[in-house]
Amino acid sequence: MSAEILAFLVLATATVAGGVVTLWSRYVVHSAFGLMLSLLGVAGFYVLLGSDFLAVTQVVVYVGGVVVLYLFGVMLTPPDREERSIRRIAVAGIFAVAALVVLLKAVFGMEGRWYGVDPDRGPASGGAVIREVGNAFMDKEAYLLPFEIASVLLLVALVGAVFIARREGGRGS
Amino acid sequence: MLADYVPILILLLVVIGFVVFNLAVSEILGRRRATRGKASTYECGIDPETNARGRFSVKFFLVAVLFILFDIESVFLIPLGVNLKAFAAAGAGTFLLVEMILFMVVLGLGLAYIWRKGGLEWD
Amino acid sequence: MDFRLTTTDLHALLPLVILSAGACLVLLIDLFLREEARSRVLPPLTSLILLGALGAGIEQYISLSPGSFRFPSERLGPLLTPIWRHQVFTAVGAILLCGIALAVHWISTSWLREEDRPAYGEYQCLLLLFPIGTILLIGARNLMLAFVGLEIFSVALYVLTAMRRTRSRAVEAGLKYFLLGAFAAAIFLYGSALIYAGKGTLDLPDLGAISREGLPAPVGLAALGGGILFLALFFKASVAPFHMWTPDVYQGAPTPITALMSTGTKTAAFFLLITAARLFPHEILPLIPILAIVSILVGNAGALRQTDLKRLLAYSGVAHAGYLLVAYCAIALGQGHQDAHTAIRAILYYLAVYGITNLAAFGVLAWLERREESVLTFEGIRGLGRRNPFCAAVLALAALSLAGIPPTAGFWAKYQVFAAALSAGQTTAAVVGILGSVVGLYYYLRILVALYFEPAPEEARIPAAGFAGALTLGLSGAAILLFGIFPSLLVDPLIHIRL
Repeated sequence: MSAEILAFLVLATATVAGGVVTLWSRYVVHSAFGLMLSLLGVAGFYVLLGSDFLAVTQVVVYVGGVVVLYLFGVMLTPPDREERSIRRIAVAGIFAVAALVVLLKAVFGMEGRWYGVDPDRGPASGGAVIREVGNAFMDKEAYLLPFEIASVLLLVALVGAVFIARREGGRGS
Repeated sequence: MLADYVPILILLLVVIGFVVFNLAVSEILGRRRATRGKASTYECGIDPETNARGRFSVKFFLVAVLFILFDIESVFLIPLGVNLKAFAAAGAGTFLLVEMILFMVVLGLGLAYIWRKGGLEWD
Repeated sequence: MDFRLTTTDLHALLPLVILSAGACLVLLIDLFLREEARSRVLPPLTSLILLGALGAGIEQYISLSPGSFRFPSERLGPLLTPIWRHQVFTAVGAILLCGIALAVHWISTSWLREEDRPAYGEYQCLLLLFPIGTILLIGARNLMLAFVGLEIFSVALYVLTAMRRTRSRAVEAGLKYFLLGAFAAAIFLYGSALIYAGKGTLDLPDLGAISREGLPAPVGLAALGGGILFLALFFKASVAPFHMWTPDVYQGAPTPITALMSTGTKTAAFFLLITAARLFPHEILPLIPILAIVSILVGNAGALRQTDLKRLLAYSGVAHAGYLLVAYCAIALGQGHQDAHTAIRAILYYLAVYGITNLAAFGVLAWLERREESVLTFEGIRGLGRRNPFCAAVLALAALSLAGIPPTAGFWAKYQVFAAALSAGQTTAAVVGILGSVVGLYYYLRILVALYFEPAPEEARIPAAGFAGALTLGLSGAAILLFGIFPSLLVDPLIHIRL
C-alpha cells in the first residue's frame, strides 16, 4: 500500500468521522469541532490532489475563520437540547441516504467522462497551483470581472454585518 | 510533490504525540487530592461570578466576521501578487496593479466604514 | 495575451460602473457628513446615480438594436467575451432593474424620513448594490459570475429586510430569509460545482445558438448539478413548493423593501432561468408544467384566505411565478427556435408589467403604512376611495392589472404568456393558468370593494407622501393604463431580443 493511499484512507476516515460527529452530536459545540475535523480532512485531500494553495486557503478561511465564527455563534445562542432530537436526525438521515443514492447514480452515469480531473497527473510541484489560479483571473478563463466584483461582494457583507450587529447610537449615526 | 509535506506530517505527529504523552504522564504519575478549591471552576484564581454558559456579546461575532472578510481579501490578492512579475513581463503589469489597487480601495472603503461607525470599538 | 479593456468593454459595463462608483460615493458621503446634511444630499444623489445607470442601460439598448451605427463593432474584448453577454437581453434587464431600484428609492424617501432611526447612507448604498448584483446575474455568461451577482443582491436584501432591528417581526423575517437564502445559495454553488465536474466548464450556453440544432441533454453529474441549480432559482423566484418563506418575509420586511424583493428578485431569477435553460436535465423538464400548476393553485388558494394585504400580495406573487412558468414551459419543452423566442418575449413583457404593477401596489401600501402596520389590511383600506382618491385609484389600477382585466397592462401580459404556451403546445398549463386567473379575480376585486364600497373608519389618518413617492405612483399608474391601451409600446421594444 503506497503512502498516498494510506494518507487518503486516513483523511477519508477523518473527514467522514468529522461529518458524522457534526450531524449526530447532541451538543452544538461538539458539532463545531466535528466540522473542523471534517474541513481539515478536506484540506488534506487538496494536498493529495496537488493543490497546495487551495489547501492553505481551506485551513486559513474555513478552519481558522468559519469554524471560529460558528463557535462564537454557538456562544451567542442559548443552548437548546430539544433542537437535536433523534427523530429529526432520523428524518435528515433518510434524506441524506436518498441524496447519496442519487449522487452515486449520477457519478456512475458519467461513464468515465470526467472533466477537469486528470487521474494520471501527479501532484503539482510547489507554487505551480498558485500561478495557475492567478492566470485563471486574467488569462485562460478571464475571471477578471468576477475578481473585481468580489470586492463589491465583500463590501456588501462588511456594510451589512456592521449595520445589523452594531450597537444603537454608535458614532456617526 | 507529496514528499514536500513530510515535515508538516512530522510536525503534526509531534504535536499530537506531545499532547497525548503529557496527558498520559500526568494521568499516571499525578496524585489526586481533591480540595474545595480544586473542585470549583477555575477562573484565574478568582471565584467564578456568573454561569460560564451565558450568552456572549455580539461584538465577538462581529470581529470574527470582519476577520473572515479580510481573510478572503488576502486569499484573492495573493495569486495575483505572485503572478505580477510574469504579467509585467507580458506587458500587463500596470493593468493588473491597477485592478488590484481598485480591489483594495473598495475594501479600504469598507474598513473606513467600520472604523467611522464604531465597529472596531470594544466598549 | 491581450489585457486591454476596449471601449466596447467599458460601454458594456457602463451601468455597473456607474452603480458601483455611486455606491462607494454614497458610502463615503455617509461617513463624512452630518446627519442633517446627509438626509438632504443622499436621496437626490442616489436618484441621480440610478438615473445615470438607467440612461446607460437605455443607451446600450439603442446602440445594440439593429439599425444603429453608433458603435461600428459591438464585439467585446478578450477579457469580457467569455464572461459577459453584451446583448439587448442584458440591456433590457439593466433598464428593468435600474427602473425598479429607482422607483423603490422614490417610494422610500418619505417613508424613510418617518423612521425612528433613519439610516440614510446604508439604506441608499444597499439599494444601489441591489441592481449591481441583479445586472451581473442577468449579463453573466458564466455561472461563477452569476453566483457572485446572486450573492451581492441577496446579501443586500437580507440586510435591508432586517433593517428595523427593534421590531421582532422584521428580525424574524430577516433571519428566515437569510437562512433559507443562504441555503439556496449553497445549493446553487453545489449545483455549479457538479456542473463543472460533469462538463469541465461553467459557461452558460447561448440559448439561440443551441436551440436551433438542439442540445445534447446534460448527463451524469452535470444533469444532477443542473437540477440542483434550478431548485435554488425556483426558491429565489418563490415558485411553489419552494415558496414557504414568501408570506412571512414579505410581511415582516419594510414595505419598500418588499416591493424590491417581489419585483427585483423575481425578475433576476427568471432572467437566469432563461439563460441557464440548457443546463436543465431533460428528465425533469416535464416537472415544469406541474410546478407551474402547483404554484398557480397554491398561490391563489393562499391569497383567498388572507386579510393582510402584504401577505395577499405575497401569495399572489407565488401565483404570478406560476403564470411566468407557464410561458417558461414553452422554452423548456417547446419544439423550435420560434417558440422559445416568443416565450422569452412574453416572460420579459410579463416581468416588466408585473414590476410596474407591484411597485404601484406596494408604493400605495408604503404610503399608507409608515409607523403603524395594522393599516395594511382590508380593514385599513376601507373607504380609501373617499379619503384619498389618488392612492385608491392607483391601488385599484394595480389590482385590476394583477387580475388581468382588459384596459390594463396586466391583461396583455397574461395574454402573451398564455398565447406563448398554447402555441408551444402546453395546453394543460395554459388552461390551468386561465382558470387560476379567474379565481384570482375574487381577491383582487375584494380590494376594489374595500376601496370604494365600504364606509371609511372615523379616525383614519393618511400621512403626506413626498413628491417623489407621489410621482412614482402617478407614473406607474399611468404606465399600467398606457401599456394596457397601447400594448405595442412595450411589445415592440422587445422584438430585438436575441439570445
